[in-house]
Amino acid sequence: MGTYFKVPTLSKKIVIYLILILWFLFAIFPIYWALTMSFKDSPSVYGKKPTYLPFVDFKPTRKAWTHLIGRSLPGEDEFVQMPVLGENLRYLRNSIVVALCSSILTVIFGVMAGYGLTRFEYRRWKNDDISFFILSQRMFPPVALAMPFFLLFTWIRLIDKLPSLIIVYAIMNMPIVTWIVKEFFTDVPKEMEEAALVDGCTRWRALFRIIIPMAVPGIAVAFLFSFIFCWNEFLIALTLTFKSAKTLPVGMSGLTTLRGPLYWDIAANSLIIMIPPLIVTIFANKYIIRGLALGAVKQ
Amino acid sequence: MIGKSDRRMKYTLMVPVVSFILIIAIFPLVFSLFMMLSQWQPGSGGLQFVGLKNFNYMIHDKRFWHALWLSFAYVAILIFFELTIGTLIALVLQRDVKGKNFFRVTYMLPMLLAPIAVSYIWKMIFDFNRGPANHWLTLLGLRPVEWLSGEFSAIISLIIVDVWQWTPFMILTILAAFEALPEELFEAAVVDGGSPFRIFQKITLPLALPVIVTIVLLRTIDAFKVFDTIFILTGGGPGTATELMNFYIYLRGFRAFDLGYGTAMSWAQLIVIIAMFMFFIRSLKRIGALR
Repeated sequence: MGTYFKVPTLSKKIVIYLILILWFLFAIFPIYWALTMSFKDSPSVYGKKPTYLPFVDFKPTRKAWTHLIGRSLPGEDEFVQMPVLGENLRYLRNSIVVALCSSILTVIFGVMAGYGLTRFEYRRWKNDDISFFILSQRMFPPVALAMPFFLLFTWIRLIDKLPSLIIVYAIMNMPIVTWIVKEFFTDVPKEMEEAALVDGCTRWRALFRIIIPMAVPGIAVAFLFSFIFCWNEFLIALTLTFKSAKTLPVGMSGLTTLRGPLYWDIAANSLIIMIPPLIVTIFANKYIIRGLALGAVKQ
Repeated sequence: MIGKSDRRMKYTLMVPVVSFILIIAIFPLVFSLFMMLSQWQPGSGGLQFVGLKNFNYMIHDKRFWHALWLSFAYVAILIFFELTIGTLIALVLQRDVKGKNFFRVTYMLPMLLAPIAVSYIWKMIFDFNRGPANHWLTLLGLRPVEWLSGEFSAIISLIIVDVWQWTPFMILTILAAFEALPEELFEAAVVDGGSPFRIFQKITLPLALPVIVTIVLLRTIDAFKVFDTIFILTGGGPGTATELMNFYIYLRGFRAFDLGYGTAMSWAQLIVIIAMFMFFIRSLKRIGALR
């Protein structure tokens, strides 16, 4: 690091860290608020002013988290389970199945397209045209796709079934996944592959034995992006499911009209939806940052 | 060099991908062109061709124009704040600060969280009586604000949530663009006695501009897609004060089940956005900001 990057004076240092810490507080506060809220009880929520610090401002309870697994605390009125996670955790299972299957499907297609685009030359369509064709899928607003998909899936009787969501998400994630995988494949040196080919390896074998293992980080990034997108997606799931195929966000969106604002329960439920992305961010942040940089900077 | 088996592999790889996209994405698109000229017949369950009736109705639909105008205002304000804050923080993080990685990771958190869950949390924060937002205002000696039920404040609240969630995208991508610039350039500028502001103005900004433009374009495309936060936070209200384009399309398409009209509106929106992009890209190219 050279002189430009060093922060010279103390006053400048203070300004810089002030900016960083202010945004840090702003970024982290809502998550902190949900976390503390999920341990609150009615006296601390409906009191005169908001309470911020556990043990100092309010006494934490396990109430919301007990409700979440469908039980109630002793001495409490019989609790009507909030259907956020679905009966027998159905919505939770749906979310996991859809996100996993769709991401696997997208990554397989992404690897195929990525390898094809980086190693072969398509004369009739041109490689750039194929790339653009795949990328252009990103332009269309989901609501514009939702309506024809709704009719299409109604006709072929896939409405309110998991495969419909898996297919639509796979299409929506194709651009970013292909893009990331392609960039990582470009980084794998061609010589390694050629050496294997000279040794009598077939191209298919080389793909599975050399290219894919070397691009595992890239494939993982693509998979994570796709998984988080599927996990968070709401509009398509809202329009294509009504009952049995509902995912977590759709299950959660019904909360408002259910009963009064039971804030602690709402907070615990939002945290459940937020946990997988949080885990991914904490453990795979390097890869996510690299993926973002690839997606935006290299275009 | 390309043998027969290689050729077979070449097409085995690409044909499934392209045909999957063609069948699953292009079919609905082409089909929606037919839908926008039709009307959904409840009961019979079919579409009836009505020609340009939907577009004729759209021209006289005040709610459509309101939603379109509102969407553009929303996106413009959003991009302004996210770009300004994003560039500022990226500039700071480009420096040699302690805990750089810590800040990068914590800043990234909001972006990956489900908008639905995030909206519920912000709903609690914006709560008139019990939310911390109003608590702080009163601590500062200001009046509490009707965050989600005021006509003007409701849209501001939506913008705050979006800035919270998506400024990280700007920060991280712009930072990546800055870090891709050669370090020697900055050192040379410092030796020549350039002040940080002039270095930003003369080196960082011009060199990173093409990337920043791309980032802004990507963000703009996504910003127009806003739906989840409106659905949870305001429901388009009060009245139609936060009824942005996608939300209005959803209301007409799926609540009123006017699929034909909804499709017509989404095409109209798409065309307006693409036209705007082409105009921007052309003028950016003219002033030399984009290659």
